[in-house]
Amino acid sequence: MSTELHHFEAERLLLKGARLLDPATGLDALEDLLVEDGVIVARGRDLDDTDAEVLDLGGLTVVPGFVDLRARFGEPGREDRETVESGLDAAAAGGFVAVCVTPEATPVTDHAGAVAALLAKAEEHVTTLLPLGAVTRGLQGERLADLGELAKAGVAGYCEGNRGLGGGSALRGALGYSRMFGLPLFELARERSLSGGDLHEGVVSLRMGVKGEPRLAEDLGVFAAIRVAEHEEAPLHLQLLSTRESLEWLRQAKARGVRVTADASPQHLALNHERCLDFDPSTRLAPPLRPEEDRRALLAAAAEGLLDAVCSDHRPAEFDELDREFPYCPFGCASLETAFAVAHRVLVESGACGLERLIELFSAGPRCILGLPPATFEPGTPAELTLLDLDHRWTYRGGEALTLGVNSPWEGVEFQVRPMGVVNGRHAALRG
Amino acid sequence: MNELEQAAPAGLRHKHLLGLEDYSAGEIHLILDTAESFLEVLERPIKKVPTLRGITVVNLFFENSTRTRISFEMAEKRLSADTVNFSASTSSTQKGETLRDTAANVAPMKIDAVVMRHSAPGSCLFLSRCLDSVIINAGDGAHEHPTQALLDLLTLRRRLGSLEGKRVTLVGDILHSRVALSNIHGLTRLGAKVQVCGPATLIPRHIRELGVEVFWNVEEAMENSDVLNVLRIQLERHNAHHLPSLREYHEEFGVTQDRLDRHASDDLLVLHPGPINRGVEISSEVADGGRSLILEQVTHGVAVRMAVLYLLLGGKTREH
Repeated sequence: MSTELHHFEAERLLLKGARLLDPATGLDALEDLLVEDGVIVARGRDLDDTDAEVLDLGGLTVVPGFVDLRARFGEPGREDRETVESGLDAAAAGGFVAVCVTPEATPVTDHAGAVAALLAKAEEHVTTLLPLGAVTRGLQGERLADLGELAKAGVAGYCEGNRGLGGGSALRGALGYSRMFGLPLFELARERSLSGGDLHEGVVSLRMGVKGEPRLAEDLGVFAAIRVAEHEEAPLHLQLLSTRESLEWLRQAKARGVRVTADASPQHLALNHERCLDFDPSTRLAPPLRPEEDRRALLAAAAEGLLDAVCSDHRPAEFDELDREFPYCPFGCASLETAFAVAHRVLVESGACGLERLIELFSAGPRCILGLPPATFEPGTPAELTLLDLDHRWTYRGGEALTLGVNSPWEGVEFQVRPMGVVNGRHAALRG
Repeated sequence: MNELEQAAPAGLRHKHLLGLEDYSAGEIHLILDTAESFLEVLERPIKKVPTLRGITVVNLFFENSTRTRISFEMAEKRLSADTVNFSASTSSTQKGETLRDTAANVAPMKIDAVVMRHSAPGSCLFLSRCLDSVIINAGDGAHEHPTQALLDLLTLRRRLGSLEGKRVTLVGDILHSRVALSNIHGLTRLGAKVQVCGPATLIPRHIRELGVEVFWNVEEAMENSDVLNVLRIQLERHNAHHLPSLREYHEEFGVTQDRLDRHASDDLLVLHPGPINRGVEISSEVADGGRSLILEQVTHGVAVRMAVLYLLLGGKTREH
């Protein structure tokens, strides 16, 4: 089975033979869709249109388009890790119609020119690039970036990258100021003085002789961030929660009506810290992989709706950076192309939740956080669709993947479901 | 004697010595038994056997260590192996060469074994994936220092016979200690009751999950131990929030003669991996006194390293 994605653009597209599944409306039917100039104009059985490019999607399931809330590309500055093109290709291969790209580039995305450059590079691609603007200039953590200018330039939100704002005064200022522009603030919440370990501080880091980061770093960071957001009455999106205490703070905050949302990565839903024991650098994640009880709590939170979204946290690295001693390897893993398959395995195949809930975590949840309207199949709405094959055995091989990143913990792993393409306005990409 | 000059039996199930975590009691005893035979060699006027003649060993030391390196070098020379020394300060790592590239330079020379000390945990495992040579871990960050633990075990075994049920307490900065971790693995394998003692901030919370008991009071530890293995304590940037001063450490945890007289049984033995900070973790009186096995540890170190080299490389001599 080819891993190639074929890209094309058409004035009129006819999607035939697929199962349409929309958890938000309860739609679950074998119907065709006619898309004209990027907008759905008809939905029904046995549609016909002689002028349209026909996509035969028999056996596939079409769902509202997935949006990824966190991916790091390398362009500009580290094109060896990922270019805009390879990153968007990987996103399309992962079934994403849009992907939020963190500002951690060289130069940092903290001014209008950088935003414009990214958008220009991404213009013709099927997957939409949603740039996230840096909260502070140069991501130095001192002075705020020109958030107003960034808003006008078209960022989808603000994000301080893996460093985070570190709580307290910086977060307060950021939330207070950014709320004027109506864009979400994404934060990897950490108590900075406690962070800096390579793995979760526990019996595994002890056995490995590796510096551990205590769970306190996240627990305290999340607690403080929620309180600041509550105090400022500003919406906050917490990224990559991983501990059971974080989830508990989140639960209590939501119960008292605080405007806070949260996501987690597929890796944290699927793996625990024992996976790190053989010093594989692609298991060195931020936040670190946690013990099994935290993973189970995270699964339950995703299944029940306490978590609003799953994000890939795609952080590709190239070969030489990984071909070194464990503590010197960069954090993160390439994960756009496996995100859905992994999440499907640990949430749906395990029985933790249904397919509908999973689709919400990849589609409706992220859109709501970004302030985007939900993607639907109703005539008159833009076509933003993800095409899935829910019965497709495949094995992830980094060598065949579209990402340039070689750091995946899923190398050689077999999955049961696969994203087969996306339709985004006039553009489409289809596998095979 | 003759049996040592023949090719070694494949007694160890491992190709490398990366740590003691995966070594069985049987393998540890084999190493210690073999070391005993080499102790006999070290008593002779001509302290050399031709066992590893033709074998080349590279000592790859990225961290300063005079004692361990000399000990390994002596072990290699006593076995008639050829040794090459590499130390970071004189090497191209200063110029930014990666471990992978350093290994790539070693590989074409068809080196039989590499003894490495490096600051990154897991680096010896990494090296074993870069080279075909036998890899012997001389200390990888805070992970393991297996030959140190083995020589500690040999020292104890020679004095006590079986270690079954013996209460061995490691004293000091356990958190950052590869000596402690390797000892915990080795002692547990041989049936000892392993305990640790030190400031609470320097003892990892999860150490109990390894079956180790914790004392925050050194006098209480002395009352409940058969052996103290005293670790060197240092003030470093990373322990600023863990350890106030060496003076305070000595006041609270120093192993002094007076404390031992009041709280330890007459049979309690004292080990120290060296180098010792006289007057800090241990007093001179104790270090040089009747309970101390420190000098024996040094001799045993060479014998243990000879045993490890012999057991891992002895089979190779047949190939030459």
